[in-house]
Amino acid sequence: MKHEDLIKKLENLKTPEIEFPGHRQSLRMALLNSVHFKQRTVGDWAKILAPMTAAVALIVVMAFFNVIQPQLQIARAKEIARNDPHVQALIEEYKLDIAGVKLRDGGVFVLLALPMAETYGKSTQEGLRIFRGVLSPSPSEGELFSGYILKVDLLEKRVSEFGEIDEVTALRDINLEDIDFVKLEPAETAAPEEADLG
Amino acid sequence: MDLSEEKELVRQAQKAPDAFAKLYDQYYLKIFGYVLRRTANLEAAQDITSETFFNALRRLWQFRWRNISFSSWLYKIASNEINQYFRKAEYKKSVSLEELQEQGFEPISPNDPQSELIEAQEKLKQHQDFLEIQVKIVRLPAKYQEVISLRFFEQKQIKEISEILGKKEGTIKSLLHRAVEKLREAD
Repeated sequence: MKHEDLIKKLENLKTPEIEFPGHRQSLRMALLNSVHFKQRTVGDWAKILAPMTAAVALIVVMAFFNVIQPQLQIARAKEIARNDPHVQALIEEYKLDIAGVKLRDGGVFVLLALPMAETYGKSTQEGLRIFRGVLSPSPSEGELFSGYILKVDLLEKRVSEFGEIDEVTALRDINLEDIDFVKLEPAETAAPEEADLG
Repeated sequence: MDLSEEKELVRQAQKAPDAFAKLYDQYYLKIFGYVLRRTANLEAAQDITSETFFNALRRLWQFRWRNISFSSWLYKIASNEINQYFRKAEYKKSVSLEELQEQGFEPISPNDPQSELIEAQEKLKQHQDFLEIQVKIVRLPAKYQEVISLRFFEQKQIKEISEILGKKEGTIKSLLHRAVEKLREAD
């Protein structure tokens, strides 16, 4: 059969036109009664929103404990340290300043160092790297600095321990485990002149 | 129904059952007929038509007038459902009234779904010329089946076929030519 003849045959072909009233009606009813058109009650919305609300609440809680709370702790630790009479004495006498704060193992540690240490400005990826007073990376060219590591008790709102840092050339050399911390008595129970701070 | 009326109806149909019912009444026969002519199987045509309209209801919120008319969109959904049916190879053999009666089946009433099915099957059998061609068309790849059915059985113009299938008009013309050739070779 030629191409054109087949086209003519297809064009003239009588195709079935069959109706199915039963199916048409039942499908219509099923569509109009489907969940899509049901008005949602308060209970339905509660079921839909509950998992979303739970997820949002979880994210908020995680954000609080992982981001906001640490930041709050750091800010409080700095404030506590600055208000501590022992620390104030050090700052005044040796011209030190808070150079950084570290959260570790449930404790808060504040670095008191010479302000010049801040001018190096960059953090490294080792040790107590979040301390702001960063030295140049190479020991041969690095400046030496000394200072104090303060352990802050957020509950008692005071500096509970301190340790000295001697001639450290790089932050990676600071290891909290190597520092001999000295306990400090609360300021109201011990006279400032009795504290051995240097 | 003119275009602006239909646009408004489609917009309302997303939330209002009455509006969706009007669209359904407008297009049920066309879609059912298209599916039946593609499959030549009444039970499959019922199932596929149902799937088409449920899909349309679920996805109505995605429909945008700028790309495609509502009619073409419905045909597009139906075409996809038909292609899926053929891919699954769920061919159900049609049963004639005589065969069922030989098995002891007695029609219950004119409105009984099974009676309706059997009666429709008998009507379908009367279109032997169509059924002979349809059997050959079904053996072609889906892309050829679609263009032949839409052009010759649904009387669609090239422009509308290109909307339904999402292909350029030149491609549709080319597909149509090749489809007829393939059908001629199968003859």
